[in-house]
This record gives sequence, structure tokens and C-alpha cells, in this order.
Amino acid sequence: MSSDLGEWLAGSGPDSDIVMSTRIRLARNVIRYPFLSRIEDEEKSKLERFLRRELELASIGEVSYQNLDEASQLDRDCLVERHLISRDHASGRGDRGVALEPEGTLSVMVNEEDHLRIQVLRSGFQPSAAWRHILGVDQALESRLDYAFSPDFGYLTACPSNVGTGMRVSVMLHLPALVITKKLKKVFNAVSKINLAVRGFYGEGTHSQGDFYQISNQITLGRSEDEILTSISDYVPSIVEFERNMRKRLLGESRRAIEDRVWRAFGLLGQARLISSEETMDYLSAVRMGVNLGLIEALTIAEVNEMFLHTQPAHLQKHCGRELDSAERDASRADYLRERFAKL
Amino acid sequence: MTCDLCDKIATVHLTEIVQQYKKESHLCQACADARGLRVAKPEVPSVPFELKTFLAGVGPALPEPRARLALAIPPCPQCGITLEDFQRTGRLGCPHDYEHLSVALLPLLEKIHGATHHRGRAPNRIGERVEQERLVAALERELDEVVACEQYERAAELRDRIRELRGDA
Repeated sequence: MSSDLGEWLAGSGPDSDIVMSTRIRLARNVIRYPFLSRIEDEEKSKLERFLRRELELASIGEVSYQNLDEASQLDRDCLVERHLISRDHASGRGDRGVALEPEGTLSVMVNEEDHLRIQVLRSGFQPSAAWRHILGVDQALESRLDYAFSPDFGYLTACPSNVGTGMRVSVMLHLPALVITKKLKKVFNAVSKINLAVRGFYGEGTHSQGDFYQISNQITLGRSEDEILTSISDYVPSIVEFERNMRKRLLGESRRAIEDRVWRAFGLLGQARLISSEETMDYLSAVRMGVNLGLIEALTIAEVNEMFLHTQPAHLQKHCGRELDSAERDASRADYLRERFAKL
Repeated sequence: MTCDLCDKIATVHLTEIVQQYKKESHLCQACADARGLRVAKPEVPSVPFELKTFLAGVGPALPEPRARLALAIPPCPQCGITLEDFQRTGRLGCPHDYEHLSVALLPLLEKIHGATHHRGRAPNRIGERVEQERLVAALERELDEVVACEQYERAAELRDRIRELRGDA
């Protein structure tokens, strides 16, 4: 498995102080095969071999393919933590896989809920660049594959909630100031009125961790891809602005309290001997805000993002080269963080 | 995520503060009910429309007209799925089901998407010209983005590409 972190963690794209990443995924199926819920094992294996070959031959950039049934649980979990495959794909069964670009920008899941789930993940707020990239990949694949498509219903998917464009745009936002000032509810209420959904750090069914929230479109049918992109592009900048204003206001009105929050977090991360994943996410969130506000100069956003990833359970175990139980992980996480902070 | 007490999917997530330490529990609805837990309004609002909830509503206790509908639709000739299978799992069996179960699907699509007809792109071989226009529109939006963050080199590349696609290079 590639040790590169992925472009999306570079903290380099537009608005990356608040927007961690922009992700677009397209759900696609091919004709002549049933959807995954009704497929026999043998046919599923045949489909996986067929799609693997097509992915290797299509002009979609340099990708390497990995059969996930043959991969270890730990490697699968690492891919989930990098947002390159879904939790369901990691815990699924039978022949399934993923094609990955070395930069971690493009991943194509094979035999997830749909035959293909194409995903582009970019640092910061880059919906148009992400769309252009994924459109190129989709076009390269559709020149070789017969997609299941109907002029009435669009791209046909296993779940009717994805039919039409098959497109989900998700923007991961870091909103600590809106959490502190208790303004999130206002944002969420407005978001749900325009048919956008809010989810936690690892997508559907997960909780917010470290003040990260994902905003994505709900509707995939009856709107064009451009309209879906516009609904996100029109709304996200206002949330970004709201968060920025709240940060400024916090600094203006209670600078000492914010500095205290940021530096306590910095101190705890650098000194703890046992630290849970949740605590780490919360403290790293405060440190990330501190770096963005110019309160902490010894760290870059890319380094903080890297720590978010390296302190996740699977990455810690990969780093240690063995399985760790929960208590061992808390110790190992604290050791890793102390080592990182000692170098500052 | 599975329930801490059994293997079902956890739908109730409890955070307790015990002696200044945060303790998280994840339980399925049955185990949460057994422990007498009542869930407060979640911090993150749930997805406004849940497919399974909707389907469950038309599942076991089918209203009279739907019950007749279920009986009237034979299993899909291609994948064998029945309307009841779909109502139970929320997943279709093959692309043909969109036609085969359309009588039942149309109200569902209207409920989920507020629409029943596709307006997005089509595979290239169906609409190549339309696609080119859309690519130009995407490039123009990206151009605005890169100009806003002062990436002028990239902006020049995009401008040239747009001209090339429009045939006015």
C-alpha cells in the first residue's frame, strides 16, 4: 500500500483553512450484469476481473488495482481512514477491489453497492477541478464500457437514491468556531432546507469528530451535474465566511480564552501518556484552528492533517507493525504525538 | 458500526462524561430500548429522507391499493426480484427493474428527488456535443476559481483550453 498521504491532506487548495477536502463520486453500473445484491459469487468474480481489466486499459491515468478480498483487514481499514474506500467496501465479502492513483486523488471502487464507484478527492474547495477530473475519468470509461443508462432515469443504480446523475458532491468543513459559538444548528437548518445533507467525518452514519462536518447533495435525479455543483458552490462559501467571521469575533472578544483553548490542546497533545482517538481529534481540531489563526507558527496545516490521519486506529497499527488493542493504541497514539511535538 | 452489546448495526450513539472523561457507547435500537435510553435530538441532523423508513411504511402492512399492486407485479424476468424484496432491502436487482417496477418506483423517486426524469448528462456516444459544451462551462468555472486564488499560470492554461474547445484558438 502506498505510504503517500494523498493530495487532499496537503492543506493547499482554495479555502483550505476551513475546507479540508472536496469529493465527488459517481455511481455507475454496466449492462448484462445484475446489481450486486442479486449477483451470484461466480458472476461477481467474473465482473470483478472484467472491470479490473477495463480499468487497467482505460486512459484514466496511472492507477494500481488492489483486490480487497486478498488484502488484510488492516490495509482495508487504512484505505477507509484515507477516505479512499467506504466502510461497507472494506467489510464486504467476495471479489471486490479498488483502483488507486498514486496521489490518492482518484479511486475507483469495484463491486461496492454499484459495479463502479468513481471518486475524486481534492484538497480545499475545488468542486470545478474535481468535476473536470472525474468527468474525464467517466468519459474514458464510458468509451469502453456499456453503462446501464436510460434516457428517462439516467445512470441506473442499485439504490434509487443515487439514480440519475449518480453523483454525490461532499465538502468536508472544519467548523470549530461555529461549534464554540453554538451557531451550527442555524447552518444545519439552512442546509437541510436546500436539500443538502450533513454528515460526520467518515460519511453516512458517522458522528462529527474534531469539528469536521461533511455537506453533500441529497438529490441526484431531475437536476443536471452543473445544477448539483452550483447548489454546493453557492452555499459552501457562505458557511466558510460564517466560520471565518466567528473566528475573528472570538479572537476580538475573547482572545485569551481562545489562546488558552488552543495552547492547552497543544500542551496535552505534546505531553499525554494515554490519549483516545476522540480526544486527539478534539485537540488537533483546536490546534488546527490555532495554526490558521496564526497563534501557532511551529506547525503547518499539512502537518496537522497528517497527524489526524496517523493517529487513526489502522494507521497507528500499521506504523507499529502489529495489531494493538484499544489501551495499547491510546499509549501508542500518545507516544507518536509526543515524538512529533518534541521536534517542534 | 456494530452495537457494543450484540452484532446488530448501532443506531444509538451515547456520549457520557464520567469523571471528566468522555465515554462513548454505540447501541442498536433494541439494546438502547432495553437499557431505557431515550435519544435526545442529535447534534448532526439525520438525513431528511430515509429510504428504508419510507419503504418500511409501505412494507409489511401494505395499504390496500399497494397490496394489490404488489400482487399484480410478477418477479423481474431478468433478476427475479419482487416488489416485496425491494421494499425489504431498499436495493434493486438489475437495471431492468427501473422499467419493471416503475409503477412502484415513480412515487418513490418523486418523494426522494422531487423529480422522476433525468436532466443530467448522457454517455458520450449519446450526447457528445452536449458534453463538450458542459466541459467548457466547467473549465470556465474553474478559471474563475483559479483567478480568485491568483494561480495565473493555471488560468492561462485553462483559457487556452477553452479557446481550443470552442474552436477559436
